[in-house]
Amino acid sequence: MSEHVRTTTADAAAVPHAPLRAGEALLRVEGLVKHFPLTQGIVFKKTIGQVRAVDGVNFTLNAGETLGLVGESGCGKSTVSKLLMSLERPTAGSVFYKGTDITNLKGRELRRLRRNIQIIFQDPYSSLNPRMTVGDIVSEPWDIHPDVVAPKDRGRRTRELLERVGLNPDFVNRYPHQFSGGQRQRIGIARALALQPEIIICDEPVSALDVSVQAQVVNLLAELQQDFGLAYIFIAHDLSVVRHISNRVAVMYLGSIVEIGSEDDIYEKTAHPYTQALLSAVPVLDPAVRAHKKRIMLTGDVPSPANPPSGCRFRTRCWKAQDVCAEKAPELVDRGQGHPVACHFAEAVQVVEALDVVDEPLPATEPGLSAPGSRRIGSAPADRSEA
Amino acid sequence: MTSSLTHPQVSGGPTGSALLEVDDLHVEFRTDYGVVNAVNGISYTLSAGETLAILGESGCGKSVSAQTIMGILDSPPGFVTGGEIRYQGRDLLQMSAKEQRDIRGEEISIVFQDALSSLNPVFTVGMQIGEMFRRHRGYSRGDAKKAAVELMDRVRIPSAKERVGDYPHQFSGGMRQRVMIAMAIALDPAILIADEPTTALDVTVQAQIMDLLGELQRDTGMGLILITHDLAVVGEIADRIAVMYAGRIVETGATDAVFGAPAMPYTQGLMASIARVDQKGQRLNPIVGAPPNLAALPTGCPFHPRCPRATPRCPTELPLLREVVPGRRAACHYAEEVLGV
Amino acid sequence: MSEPRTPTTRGTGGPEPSAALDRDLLAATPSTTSADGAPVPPGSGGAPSAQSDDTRQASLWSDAWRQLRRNKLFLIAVVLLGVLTVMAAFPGLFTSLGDPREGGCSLSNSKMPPSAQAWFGYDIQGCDHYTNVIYGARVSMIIGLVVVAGSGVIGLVLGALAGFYGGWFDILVARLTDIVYGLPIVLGAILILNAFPNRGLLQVAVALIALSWMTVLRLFRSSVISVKETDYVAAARAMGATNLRIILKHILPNALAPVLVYSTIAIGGIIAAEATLSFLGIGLQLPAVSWGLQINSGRNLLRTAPHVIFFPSIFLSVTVLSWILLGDALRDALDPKLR
Repeated sequence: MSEHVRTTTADAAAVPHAPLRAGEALLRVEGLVKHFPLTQGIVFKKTIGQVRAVDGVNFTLNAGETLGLVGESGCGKSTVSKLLMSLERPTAGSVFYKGTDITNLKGRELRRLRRNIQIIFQDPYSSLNPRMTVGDIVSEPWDIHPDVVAPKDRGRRTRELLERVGLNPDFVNRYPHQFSGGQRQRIGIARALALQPEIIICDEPVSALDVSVQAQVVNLLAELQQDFGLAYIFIAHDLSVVRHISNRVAVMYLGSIVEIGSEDDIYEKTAHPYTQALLSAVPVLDPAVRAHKKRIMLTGDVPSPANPPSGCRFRTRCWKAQDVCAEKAPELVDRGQGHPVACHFAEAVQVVEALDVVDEPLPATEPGLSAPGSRRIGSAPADRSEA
Repeated sequence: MTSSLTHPQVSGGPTGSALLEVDDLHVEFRTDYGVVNAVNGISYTLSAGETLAILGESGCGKSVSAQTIMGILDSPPGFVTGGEIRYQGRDLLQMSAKEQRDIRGEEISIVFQDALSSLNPVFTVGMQIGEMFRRHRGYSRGDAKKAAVELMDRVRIPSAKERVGDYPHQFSGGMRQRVMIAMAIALDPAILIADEPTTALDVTVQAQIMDLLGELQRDTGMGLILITHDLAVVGEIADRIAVMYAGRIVETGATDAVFGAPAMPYTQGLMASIARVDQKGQRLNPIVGAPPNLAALPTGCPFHPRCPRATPRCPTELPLLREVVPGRRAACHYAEEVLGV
Repeated sequence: MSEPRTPTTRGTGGPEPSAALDRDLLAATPSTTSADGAPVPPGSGGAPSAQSDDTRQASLWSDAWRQLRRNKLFLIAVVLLGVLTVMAAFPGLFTSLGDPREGGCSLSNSKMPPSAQAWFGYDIQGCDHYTNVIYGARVSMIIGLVVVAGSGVIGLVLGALAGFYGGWFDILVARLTDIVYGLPIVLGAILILNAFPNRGLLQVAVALIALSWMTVLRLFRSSVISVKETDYVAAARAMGATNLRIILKHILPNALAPVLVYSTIAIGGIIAAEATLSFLGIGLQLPAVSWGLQINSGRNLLRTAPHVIFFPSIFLSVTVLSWILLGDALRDALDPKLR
């Protein structure tokens, strides 16, 4: 890394909310790679392979928007969040914040940067220190960054933050175990807000919550985004929630992004076979929509990231796979669907119709797609009285 | 509690006589911190070939009721304090331990959420599946292994013959759940209880497992009780649904009818609060508050503190599960208004 | 155009977003305050206070202290340990006979049972056993405390470093632990104590520390590793906390409980180990006075003069029990879930 870059880096990090240059994304990720060594032995460790958790990820995040990052377990989405938070060092690639490379920041510069990027975790039980009061948890960021809020104002600001996330401010002296999962998640959100960040990485923030509480937290996140102009990277496996909250969506499979685009692009002009299968697998509540859903059943499991297939990583489970897929990894580029897709045979399909779209029968001729129909278990006709 | 006065059945199974009847079941947990009323008088029936979904949030008692049916309730602290569980007319709770064992496992079996902790890590999956045949059917070691391979084929585990000697950790989450299903259906049970069978799995694997359960049910005609918190999963596979809240069934009926027009504000609230993949940008309308503490239930209707329709009657009078329109029951004083009839 | 979608509420410094917070508070409060319902314990929330700046800010340690003051067992333990500490420091306050090593013993009283003049009877040398036991407190208390504190510090520091940083240091410490564990305590003590030209309290303490730090280290190392993986530690790192802060503020309070419990129980074992070493002739030598030596000297007299072993044993038990009560109370007080 050159002297020059180091200085500019320090400058950018020194000003908490530096203005954004024209045409520059708030966050830009280029060729991000993270390989974890697979080791054997206890005394003398021997590297026997690499787990390619993240293998060349590119995306941008604009100010004030939500980028959904979707994928199944093991696709590398959580590793991406750790890399963005500098909780892990990437094997290769760079992260640019407002145009400056922040990948290898250290010490004070890194600490300053952290004010701008914060994180909300999935598990509301493990993300709060059980031996700290709620007040201490929410105000801890100010112990580390004392210039954000003066010590005499901290008590008041803590109460304000608690109130803002929908908690009684008199709870400052309570401990996390006295709260429900949804309330704990609100405490975690208050902590993330304390440093007035520009970007919050939400790592599965609602998937551990009860159904009736999830919506409370999703709505809170949406309100906070509007009020504070936050940009979110919303990592989730639940495509329904991601659709609800995201402006843009990136779909990950085995360490790389296979499709990225606007919410409409991904959900209505789905072009990658994996995204199509993923969408098709999401259960649908509305019987009318369900009847017209394309049904794609993937076979087999996700291959091990320690030994991914050659060429396109999805080819082992793909019904479109041909010889070229094993030889050449498809680039993530626009192939005429209006958004980048990493598939040699990309073809835009609407897997699930949105509610306001007029029903029209879908042709079910592609291999791997069975005739549209409900997936009702059991053949016995139920008495479906219309109430 | 007054629910013992009347305990209407969730009836209307499509094929007539009921395989399983749960009648006014009460279960409580006696803990150091007081008595937790986990199940407060639930009743339902299940017929052969039918899929009944029991829908509810964590702590609503849906899993406890399943554990009670299977006789695997941790006791103490859990105690059945009332009610009957009749399998083909005979009360399981009154049977001797041996009779219970014969029915459970042979006639009623269960698949849990966490397949990894349900499988013994030190035995091969073939041995664990084969054990069912050895213990209940007296198969020889060789026959049990052959039967295990057949079963693994049936739950569509690829190259079953080669994998029968593998250990649980060598399988993926979805494959382990298939192993669990293989063990559950080994003895051709009449009833399969699936307790959150896909909650720990990815969505594409969930679809595979649900598909498999449906196929097995079609082949065998068994009754399926699906316990879940996921409304959309229920919508996709269940014939009938029983919505549970705070240890009670608060609404029942045919799935599409209930989801088409709920008769209970809780069901309505759940439906308004979930994000849907087939709707974009819709506003989520969450239910305020959190599910109640089962050790200190609200008086009257347990949902009244969170209910937008609550009136002064609700905290004083417990609404019983009653028929609102034919085939539909709900536990709400204002079910007709909610339903709009 | 130059700053697309840059939010208006965000400025370049601190105050603006805070102003935005204030404004939004007004709009958001009524609808969301009790969105999830109140936590379970009633009455502890208190009325909303208008001024927030003077509100008591609780912390783990202040809450723990308030909890301890209300704990009867803790108070009993403190009183007992207080008495024992005074006994160790000023034995003359408890007996008029003076140090038993300075005469006053008469062989004619050997093994005499307890009586009105000699409450605890006499030992084999004919010394007043009550005075013996009082004077024995000093060595036993010092050995127990010093050894547990010393091995605790070594175990905590090495355990924290090994658990937190891992890598080659962890491997090195783990192997060293294995080696010392493999050493029988008697053999190890003989080796160490023979290296000293003369053996006293300090030398015995050093030998016992050198052979007893491993359990604390292993306990603490494994708790550190499990706490290190939690999301709240990741959250602290994500807000820029230094390693020292993470260790002191997040890992230590959460990893300390098993160490605390072990250490208070270990005090008893250490006092007994001192006795064993003395018995084998490699610990304190007989002119010294300790409960361990007294218990050992009474072992052969169990039938004829049981009081010789009985009284120091009682004192030893009470001491150990007091430490255990103290550790138990401390552990409970430091766990908010038990309040």
